[in-house]
Amino acid sequence: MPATVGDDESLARYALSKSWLYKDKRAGSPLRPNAWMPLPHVDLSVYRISEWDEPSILAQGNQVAEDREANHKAAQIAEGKPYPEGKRTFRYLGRGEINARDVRANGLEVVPEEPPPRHAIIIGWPPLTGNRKHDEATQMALAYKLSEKSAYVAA
Amino acid sequence: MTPTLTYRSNASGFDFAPSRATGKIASNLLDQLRKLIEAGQSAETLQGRAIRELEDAFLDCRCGNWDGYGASAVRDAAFLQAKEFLALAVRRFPAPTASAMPGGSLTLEWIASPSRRFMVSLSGDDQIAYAGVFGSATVQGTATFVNDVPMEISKHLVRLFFS
Repeated sequence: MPATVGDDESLARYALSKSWLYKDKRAGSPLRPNAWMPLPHVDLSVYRISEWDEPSILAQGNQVAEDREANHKAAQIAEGKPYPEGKRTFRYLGRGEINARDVRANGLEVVPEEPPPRHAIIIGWPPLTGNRKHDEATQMALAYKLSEKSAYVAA
Repeated sequence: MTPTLTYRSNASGFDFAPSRATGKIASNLLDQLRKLIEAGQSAETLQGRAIRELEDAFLDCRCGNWDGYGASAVRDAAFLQAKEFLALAVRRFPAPTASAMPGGSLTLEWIASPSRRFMVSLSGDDQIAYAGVFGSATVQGTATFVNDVPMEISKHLVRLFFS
């Protein structure tokens, strides 16, 4: 992959929890804008999916879900919480897709952050001010803008 | 049987005497009353759906990392506040959809159309965050929530649905 993310590159935000999706069958994207907010972090994890075929994109989504599930399960067990065999917290449900150009048009930047291969992060979010609600409102407005420019592809 | 109605206004400042109506007028009034009751029941159903969605969002997101990306857990205080806010908001506005924010708050969102939407975020603090899109314009800010829907949030919701 190129060392910099091109404007025309497509980025995927993998959805692993139903909490990111609207439950009703409304018009428009079923992906809630919350999916595009980095809080409590300062960057947002995405994958560069241009020139990848659909099976590869799906495989990566499933891999992300597997990794998160394994980490979550290990953390739960380490805390002494039961994690029954067959329980599954995270699954690859779909993805929000957005162009790097649309990310940059909103004053944000996207840069590679590997490993894993093709992983990137959206950075440049307005600096945290210490006023949690103010910071959240700023991110909510940006999340709306990213959400408007994104498309959802179900698994 | 011919419907018969007796009507006494509850509105203060008016001094209507009870009136009796029969025949066609009464039938029309009965129809209108039935529609009003059905609309009220429908609103109640919608409100109930929003409360259940809020409860589900809370239960699904009570533990940290509920999204797989390290989201903060939603606190009990956030749920109680969001429930209170919801009960006040649905008296004047359509029922919203509810979910959780990665920062650990609960959000209520009103969607008039894909390009006209507004959401508030409640975490149990006095301050609540909000953001909205109205076509090409966006709004964002914070407001203090004590006993009623804050004025600026009401204004945005009025703009969303009634202008």
